[in-house]
Amino acid sequence: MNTLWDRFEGVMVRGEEDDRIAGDFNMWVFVLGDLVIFGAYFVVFMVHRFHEPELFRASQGHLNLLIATLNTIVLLTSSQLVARAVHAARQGDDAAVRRLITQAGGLGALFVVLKVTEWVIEISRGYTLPSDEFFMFYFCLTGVHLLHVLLGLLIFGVVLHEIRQGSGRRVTLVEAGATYWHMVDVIWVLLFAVLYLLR
Amino acid sequence: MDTDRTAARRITAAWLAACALTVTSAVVATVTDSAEHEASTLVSILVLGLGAAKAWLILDEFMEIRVAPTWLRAAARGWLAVLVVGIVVLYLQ
Repeated sequence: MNTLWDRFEGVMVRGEEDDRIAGDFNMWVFVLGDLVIFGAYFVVFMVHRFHEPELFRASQGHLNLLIATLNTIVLLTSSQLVARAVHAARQGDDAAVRRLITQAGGLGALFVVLKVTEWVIEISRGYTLPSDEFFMFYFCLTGVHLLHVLLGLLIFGVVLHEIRQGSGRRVTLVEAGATYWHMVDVIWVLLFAVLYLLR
Repeated sequence: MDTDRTAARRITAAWLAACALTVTSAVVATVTDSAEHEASTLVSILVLGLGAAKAWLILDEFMEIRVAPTWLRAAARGWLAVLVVGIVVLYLQ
């Protein structure tokens, strides 16, 4: 017997237009929830910025825009590789999926290295979490995002393992992993604009 | 196969556009900055718009929101629109 949730999923996911969504329905629920939570973080940041705009602008001037820009391109490139992996999975090309996911994971690892380097530079110059309100938000927001990147790398590992095991759900797994990774990318491009570029 | 090639071209085009928007926004923010780090509404709205365009590209082309069911398309695009408008409103206060 179908539960109410099954019926809701059937109507909402399979009942309209394209008939399906890329990946797992539960992953989309998680992703949308995470986007709402990050949206709240952005609003809280902007409210605090409203109270001390000069301090936020002055502190922002100490950030390393070059590393942040490079990291944005690294993450966008990684997302592009994952999007191509989804199409390779749909064509049943497991070798291409493994190659593309591995490359995307490598770029994800590079993002982590660059982010930690950026933090080390800031900390060595005396800008730490308790320095002021801007840096508290900077370290907290980029830190929470970095945890999402690390979780994404773990998901890539699971996807690669399942593909090597010949899992029958490999297309759904790759799509679900891709959905999560793209969400990490969406959050970063908005963090980049708000933390590094807003004047 | 044509569909696969079209999809691959769309992904590549979206990636190139997103990278170009990233470099453009960084250059705009850098060249308009001053030693006093003065506020600039025009630059802020511009970089937020470029950031929103990048997020839209990722949602539509990489996450395939443009071909998703209506409820999902509305939720994702609605989230982005509400968030960006909210940030702009709070910035302009």
